[in-house]
Amino acid sequence: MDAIKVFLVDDDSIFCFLFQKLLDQHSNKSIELIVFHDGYSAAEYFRKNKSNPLTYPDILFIDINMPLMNGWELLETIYNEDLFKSKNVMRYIISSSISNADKHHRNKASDYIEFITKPISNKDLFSIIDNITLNNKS
Amino acid sequence: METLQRFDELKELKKKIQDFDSLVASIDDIIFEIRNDGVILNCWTAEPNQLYFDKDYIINKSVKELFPSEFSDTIIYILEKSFRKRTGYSLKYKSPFSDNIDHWYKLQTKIIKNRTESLTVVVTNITREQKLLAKIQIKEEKFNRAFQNSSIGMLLLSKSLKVIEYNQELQNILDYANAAEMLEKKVPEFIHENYADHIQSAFNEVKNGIKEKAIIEAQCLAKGDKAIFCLINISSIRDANGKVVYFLCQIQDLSLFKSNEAKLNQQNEMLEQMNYELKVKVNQLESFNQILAHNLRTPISNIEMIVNQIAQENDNDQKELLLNLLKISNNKFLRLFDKLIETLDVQITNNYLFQTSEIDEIILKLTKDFQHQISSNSLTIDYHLDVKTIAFPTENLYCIFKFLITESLRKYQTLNTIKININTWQMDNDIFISIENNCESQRSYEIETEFMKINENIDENFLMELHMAKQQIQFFGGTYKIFKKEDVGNKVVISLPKSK
Repeated sequence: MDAIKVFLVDDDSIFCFLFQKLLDQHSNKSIELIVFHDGYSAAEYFRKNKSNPLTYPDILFIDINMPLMNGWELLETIYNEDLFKSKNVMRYIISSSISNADKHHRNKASDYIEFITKPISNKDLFSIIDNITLNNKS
Repeated sequence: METLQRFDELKELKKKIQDFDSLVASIDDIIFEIRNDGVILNCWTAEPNQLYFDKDYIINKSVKELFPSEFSDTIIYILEKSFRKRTGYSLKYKSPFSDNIDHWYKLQTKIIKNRTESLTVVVTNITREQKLLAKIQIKEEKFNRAFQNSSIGMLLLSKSLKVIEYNQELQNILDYANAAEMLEKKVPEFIHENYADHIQSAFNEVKNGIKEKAIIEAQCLAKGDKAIFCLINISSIRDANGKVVYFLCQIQDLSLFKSNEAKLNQQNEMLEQMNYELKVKVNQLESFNQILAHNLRTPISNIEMIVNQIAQENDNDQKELLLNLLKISNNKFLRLFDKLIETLDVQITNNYLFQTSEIDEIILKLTKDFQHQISSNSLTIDYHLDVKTIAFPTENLYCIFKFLITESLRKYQTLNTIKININTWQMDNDIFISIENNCESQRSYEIETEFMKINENIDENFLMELHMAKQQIQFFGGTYKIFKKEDVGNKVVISLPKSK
């Protein structure tokens, strides 16, 4: 199985724990999960590793409501600073609710952004992982 | 020889008669020679049509025979007086004949030297002049009526700005009971000193033809130096050469207008305030909706995920851990719910919209909160405040400051001392607040790997307050930005409008 790098940016530690538990149930045991508890920390990491595409995630899950820098601000930073300059990283907004304001943000944002609502099931998550695996192979 | 001399004299006399006739022909007037009994002895005119009668008919006829008695009596009286006083008199009259009643004439008696039995009467047709005069009189009357009866104050000034005339309305506006009292004053005495220069330059502009008229809003001084807002319209009256002869001022009392304007402004301010409150309320409702949807749904969605995990879990230790998480999520939900109700109760009033924060007091409170860290040299808080009072709720600013300091301590605890620097300043119409730390990542960035350790003590309520504080900044028309300062640390800059 190919290694897949999954980044999760969420300030809710319980959700992060449960997210890891779900990933553990996937047949691909080479999934690496990296967690950031706020958008600013994630942005700092991406900046530092901008020149190294090997460190880019295959999938980026981002919560909307976070302290310091929220999900939309992080996506804006990634876009403005071109932090994934040589890779089309699929980005998922992962939130317990999607408001009209969020949809408005989505329409304004770049491609590669999808919504996924909490609670997430292993079925939802595995479907995303499998798609990425397929894309990576092709 | 004598015949020749007489012939020359006759020739000279004829020439004189010719000259005289030429002279008469050049005069538009009618000239009569009239005897002291009123009989016309001779008559000359360049325009015989002017005579009304045939010239031959009137010679040797008395004035009484020619004209209606009322008119002839007046003429005889003037003639008699002229003969008696040996001086000339004049009379303006309308034609005594009904068929040219609209014609006007001027009659002048002139005494002839060395003659007592006759005099000269010169009659001039003055119909044109009289018509012009009538027109002028009508115009003057119109002006006088407009000036005196105007419902706004009217003032006529000399070119040196001395009061010449004014109407009753102006007297009323300026509250003068005695008309003469105003005439003693000069224009600057009626103008408030703050507007004196402005008024003078307006007069100069009109005088120099830069403006045809000047309209100025200025305070006039009524009796007792009471200031009244007036609208003053200055124009000039010029002579045939275009030089200013008079200034004409129209003065309108704006007191009522100003009072209504003040009321209107007050009402507008109230409307703006209400509009602002409504906008904030709408934004808050959206925000609360989001908080309800997100913050409250987060533990609930976690519960569902935990339950699903428990159902699949075989390991008893893991089951116990999941049950513990279930309990934590449930508690979080209840605490958040209570907090949200409490917050809604507080924010249901608009009082917080107009709260101000004293930044130095917030810093003092933070210093107390972090006394332990400050005493142990793991934290310093420095500040430079150009602006001390900010129109923003204290709780919200305090929440943001506290979170940023807590995060700095939590994330960068490997540093010897966390240095927090708080600054405030004003630029244009905005107030800026910056909070900086010295937390440059000296370490290579550590990816958070400790999320497995679930900390039950994480204050979800505090995070919700922080979230609401950030929302409030937007409601107030401000911004919240976080920056990385290379080789220095991190910086959060909040901007807020100076006033709402």
